[in-house]
Amino acid sequence: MSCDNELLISSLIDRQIAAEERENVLAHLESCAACSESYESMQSMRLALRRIAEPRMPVGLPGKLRQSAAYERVRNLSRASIRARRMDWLSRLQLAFENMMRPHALPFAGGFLSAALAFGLLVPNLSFAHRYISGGPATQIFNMPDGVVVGASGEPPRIEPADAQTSDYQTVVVLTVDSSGRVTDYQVTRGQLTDDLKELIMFSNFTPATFFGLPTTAKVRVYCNKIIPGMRS
Amino acid sequence: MATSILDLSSGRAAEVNADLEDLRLIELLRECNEGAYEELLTRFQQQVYTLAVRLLNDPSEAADVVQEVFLKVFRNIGSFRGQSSLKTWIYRITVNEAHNARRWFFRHRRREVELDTNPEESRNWKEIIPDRSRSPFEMALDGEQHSMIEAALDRINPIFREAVVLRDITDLSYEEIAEILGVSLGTVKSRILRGREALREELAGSLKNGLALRLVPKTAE
Repeated sequence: MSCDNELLISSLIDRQIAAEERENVLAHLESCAACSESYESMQSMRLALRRIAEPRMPVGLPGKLRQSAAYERVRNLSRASIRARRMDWLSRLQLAFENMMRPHALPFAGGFLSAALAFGLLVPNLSFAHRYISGGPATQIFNMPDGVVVGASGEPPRIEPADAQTSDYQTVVVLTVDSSGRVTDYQVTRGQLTDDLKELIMFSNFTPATFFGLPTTAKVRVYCNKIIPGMRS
Repeated sequence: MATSILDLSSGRAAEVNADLEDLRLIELLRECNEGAYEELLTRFQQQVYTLAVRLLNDPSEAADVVQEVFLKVFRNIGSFRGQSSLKTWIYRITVNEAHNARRWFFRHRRREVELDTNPEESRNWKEIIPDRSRSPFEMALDGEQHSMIEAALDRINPIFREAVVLRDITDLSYEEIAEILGVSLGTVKSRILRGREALREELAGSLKNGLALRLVPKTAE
């Protein structure tokens, strides 16, 4: 046996050698100092390698691994079936939507409330401008609210002072006009009111009744023509 | 003789038990059982970390590799066909990941390292600073020997290092190493031998340097 036996020695250390060959190598080791030294050094190195202390894991690593395991478990669960996959997508979408909406929720609510408030403040001041043909309110001790609701077919109805006289009235309405000239109530005593007229009455300003020159609430009778929906007080 | 037969049969029984245990764990992992994930980590995290540290000699790099390894294990457990044991499969992933990390390191960081260090400085500081209070013989018996071995391991060819680490530190059989590295048994044998020889040379060199460093101050006195 020549002394180029490193491979055999290495195999002998690892017990990866046939029994017969093992005997031969061991016998050679007895007689050859160089091979014996080689065997000893390799063996002691192997022992030293096995004795190296196990490196201690960094403190945060087990936690990170568990975190990753939990995440992967959820991921695998969500891919288990089509239904689970769909649920996962839905929950992702919901989360994405909620995350997107969260920063907008307060400004949106604020904007909506401001708009509602502004609209609420604006509505009571909505009114139509009236064209008065005659002069302003008369300076009597008590005068009635004045005005006539007229309208031609094809054009929206409007209010004018009462000077046009017609006799063929189909609808009679009693309006309650308050001190600011706004209609607070109405009562149909004959016929029917059209929607246009109702709207016009509710959003119209009448010249209020005056009592010793001060505006006051009063009732007024209004007439409405059948063909030309004009009303007269 | 009787005892050896008994040993043999008990060894085989242990192997069969380990295989059954692996199969059970794999099945539970496929069912996304929470305890199975925990069990897998408990069983393998230290082993994988040790292997990664020995292959890379860089604890922080090894920690990254361990995370990558378990990520791959969790994601691919469904496609694991069981041709090899769970341990072999996980070690194979670890070796590949360490290989990738080393390649990345050489591609991206080598230049930075080379710019401001020289080979002498790139050694472990424990190896460079002489320990004047102890003799080389005492040194051979304590922890300093370990750091010397670690440094020597770091300096040998990574291909041979893989084989030596898997055989001598992780204590795997030649067959398992062949499976992990994807090479033949003969190649495993020769890589282990060449690794051991290279390691022996490195250690002999370190010891000589160590002796020289220790002898200089004594002669000066």
